[in-house]
Amino acid sequence: MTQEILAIDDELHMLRLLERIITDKTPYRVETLNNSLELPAFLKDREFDLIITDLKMPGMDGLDILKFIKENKRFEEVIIITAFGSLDSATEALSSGVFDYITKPFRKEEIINTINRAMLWQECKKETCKLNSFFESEPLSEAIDKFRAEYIRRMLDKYDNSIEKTSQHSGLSIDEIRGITG
Amino acid sequence: MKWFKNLVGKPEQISDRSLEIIQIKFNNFLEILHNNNAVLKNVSDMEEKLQGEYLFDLNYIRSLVSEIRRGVIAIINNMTALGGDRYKKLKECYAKIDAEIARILPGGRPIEEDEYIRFFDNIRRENAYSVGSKNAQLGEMKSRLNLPVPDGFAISAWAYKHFIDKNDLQHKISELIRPLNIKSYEDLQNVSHQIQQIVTNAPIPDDLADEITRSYKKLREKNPKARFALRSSAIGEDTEYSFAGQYRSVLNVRAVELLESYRAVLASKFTPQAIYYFLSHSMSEDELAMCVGCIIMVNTRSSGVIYTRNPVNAGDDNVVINSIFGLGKYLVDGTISPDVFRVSRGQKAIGDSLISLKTRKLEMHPDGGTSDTELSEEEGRKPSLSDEETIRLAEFAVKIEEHYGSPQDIEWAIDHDGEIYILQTRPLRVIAPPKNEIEIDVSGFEKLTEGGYTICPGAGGGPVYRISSVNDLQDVPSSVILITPHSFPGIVTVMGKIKGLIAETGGMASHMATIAREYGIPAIGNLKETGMLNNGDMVTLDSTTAVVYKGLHDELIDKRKPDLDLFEDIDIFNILKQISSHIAPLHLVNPKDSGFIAENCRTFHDITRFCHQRAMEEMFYGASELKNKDRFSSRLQTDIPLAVNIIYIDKEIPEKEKNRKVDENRIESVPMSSFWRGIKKEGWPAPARPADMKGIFGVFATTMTRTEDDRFSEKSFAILSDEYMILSLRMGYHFSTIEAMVTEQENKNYIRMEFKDGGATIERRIRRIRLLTDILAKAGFENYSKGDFLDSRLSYQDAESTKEALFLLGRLTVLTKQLDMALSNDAIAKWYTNDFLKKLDMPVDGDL
Repeated sequence: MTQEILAIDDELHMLRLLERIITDKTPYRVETLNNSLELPAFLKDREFDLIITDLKMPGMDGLDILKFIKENKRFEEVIIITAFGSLDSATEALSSGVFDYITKPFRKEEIINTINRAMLWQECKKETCKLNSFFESEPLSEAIDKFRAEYIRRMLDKYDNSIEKTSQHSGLSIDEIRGITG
Repeated sequence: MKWFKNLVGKPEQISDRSLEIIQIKFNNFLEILHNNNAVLKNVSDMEEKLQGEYLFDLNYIRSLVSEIRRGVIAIINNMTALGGDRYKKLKECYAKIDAEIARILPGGRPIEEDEYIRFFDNIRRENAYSVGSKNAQLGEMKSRLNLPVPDGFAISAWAYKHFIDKNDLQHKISELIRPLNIKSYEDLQNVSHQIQQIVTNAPIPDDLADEITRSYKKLREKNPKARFALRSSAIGEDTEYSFAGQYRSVLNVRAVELLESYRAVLASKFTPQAIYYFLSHSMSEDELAMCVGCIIMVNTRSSGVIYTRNPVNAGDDNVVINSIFGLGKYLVDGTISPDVFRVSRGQKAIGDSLISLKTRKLEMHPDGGTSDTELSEEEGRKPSLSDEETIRLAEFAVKIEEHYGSPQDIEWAIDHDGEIYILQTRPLRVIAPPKNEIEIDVSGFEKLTEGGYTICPGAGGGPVYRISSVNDLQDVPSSVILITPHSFPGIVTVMGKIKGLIAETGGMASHMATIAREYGIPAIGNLKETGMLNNGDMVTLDSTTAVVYKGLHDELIDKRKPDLDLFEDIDIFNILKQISSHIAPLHLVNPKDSGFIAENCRTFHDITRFCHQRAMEEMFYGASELKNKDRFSSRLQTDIPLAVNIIYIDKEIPEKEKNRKVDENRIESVPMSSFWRGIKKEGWPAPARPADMKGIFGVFATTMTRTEDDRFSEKSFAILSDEYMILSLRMGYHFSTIEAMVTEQENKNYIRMEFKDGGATIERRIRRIRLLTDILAKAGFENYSKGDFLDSRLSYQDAESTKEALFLLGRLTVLTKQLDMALSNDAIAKWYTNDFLKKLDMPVDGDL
């Protein structure tokens, strides 16, 4: 699954720059939002990995967005872009759980590195959540079943969905694998 | 600044008024240096951002430009304080350059005082800041290019300000906007409506009303049969944003409606979009200012838009003429699809033409207003231009493009007598084609519909979303393919979020098309068959070929992406690039050139360079004119036969003359002592052996024959402070000035050396310059040389490196003393270069 980013800024220039650089220089998909007030509706049935937002905007500003994400216990991490000199807000953002903040103007590499770091973090987060859900399962057989299913899915992935190869390398019978994949 | 404290704190110790003047001048001089450094730092910051490695926003540009402006203004003020009124013309240079910058980046400036009214023959494009871009271009074309432009006059931004101030409108508007939290487009619309009402109801001050009415009468007397239109002409319009077409024009204005119409045009500036922008970026007063043009209306038979290049295909340099019957409104708003004529610019021959069915036309109504007429099929199929008219239009277009130096988007009209009028011109954005045209296999794709014109090439995918009026705009979700029956003004508000645009009517020349190209949104116009596209259907729009496919085809979207440098085509880079062209380039290099004058300052960098140079000279001039200089200058005590007088600008002057000596080992100036150590290191050699006997004058002899009464400037002398030195060195026949600042802050440190003159022939002197350049370049100096003049500089190094470079300069000064005499050919010069490099422990060419 390609990881997804939502970029929010009221200045279209900046939004276009972000969109361009993410599309050209990273493997992630990006969508943009010009009016931050549309965000709650926009996120109703969507989930992103990362939100990149400007700090100072009319409507919801960067901190409002961060608050919205945290209060609703959403999965997204938030990177806030601030103008140089608005450090107070940056500190506030840090204490409210922002993933990172970047001051404008910034180098391409700076945003790309920060995005990559956030995406790696999100991948680990997903992984940990999954593992946690295994460990929280009761009784043990339930946890083992879940693990087995996940194991088979990954082996299939590794061997180009070939059931034969998966069976050969995992030591599981073809029927057992079919039982999982359906 | 210790010496300044001396000046203020212990006035009784400064006995000589002329020294005080020097110190005040020095203070101004230091300010110039300080600001000069600050400006140059900002300039290099700007140039760095242009390399495409950074992301920045408009606020960045704004604050950078305002910093640079502040610095340059301070430099000019200090220069005037230092050198007097003759430097006041720098203010004119500044204003001229700044007007160009303001044209690109409006905002941040107060409205400048001007006439309320200017007639077109009295307008040039430089007046854009006062009369708005559109009026300024009309004036430029009329007065400079002699093109057929309708007669008229502009009501300036100054007039607008007068109107606003007299009615205290700024305050009232701010009061309305302040409590507004942009929750919805509806709220914005409400406030927009309220503000427009306030503006429309405010009385126009009598003096302004009189002048508008008088000018109208004058125009009317000159053109008794004409009708008039009032058109908006905002400052910066057409350059930064395509707000074009969003402001109001009032057609067919009669005398009784004149003032009312003027207010209506002013009010149209307060659109919901403008208010939104105002709230998010705090617009300055000039950004809200609205200039208005009162222009003769052409009794239009046909009208349209010319693109001097094909905007959707940069490889095609045909002139493209779009034309319809009647007024141009139906063309730019997309109601009618126009005839399209292509004219090759070389042969002036008409190539491919497309005659459309023009179903209706809009005409002026004799009693004011306009009337819409339906055209029969027979009428509607006739071409709207004759061949001869087409060629003439193309000729005008090429002339305009040549004058402005870039592709243009030109509005024109032809009246019932066949007279051509040029109504407007502005820069045209041309989309570069992908560098490698790739064949894309679309055989597996299901084609839903096709047709229409490419408005902006590319491909985009997403769900279909239909709108039918401006009221639907606020609900447009992100990442959709938008279908609209025709163009309407507010559409710019959704351009940032859609993936593609389909207009059922309208062509390449509509305002919507301009905006789509500006935002790089794949778009087609005049696509009739859209019935099968339902809201929510996932489609891919290939606007390059004008086809809509079912489903999302990422590979197509990917391949259609313009193949550009990462940010090359993005507006904000172009804004910065254009601004930078008025700030960064340096044209004034050699102060000995006759062209090194204030009038020739074409950029801010020129102004700072000019001021730095002149400030230094003013300091010298001031010092050389000093009376009783013996009372405050000290003599450098040295065994080297070189008379150097020193003025410490930050130290008290000993009362007794015999105490006014400076021990060469105790020079209290970091740069001077480093430089002098260099001189001492080499010692004072016998004069270099000349290869021939022409003009041998030893420095020894020269300095020895000069008496104490020589003019100051002919001696070597130095103005010093702890961190600064300016040293004018006369050695034999060459003359050099070394200026240096050494502090703990790297960004303040610099060395500048100017080297000029010599006793030998010009060829030999040039050889010496080359030798110096070679060696200094190796030491990290930047060199500008012309003839036997060299300007060499080193900046932004830490204190240690700067001191070392000064030490090197000291050594070089001795080594190259009268060397020009010896440099009778290039081989000898090369030999000396290598010899010196060895002596200075620097790498010699060839032995890396």
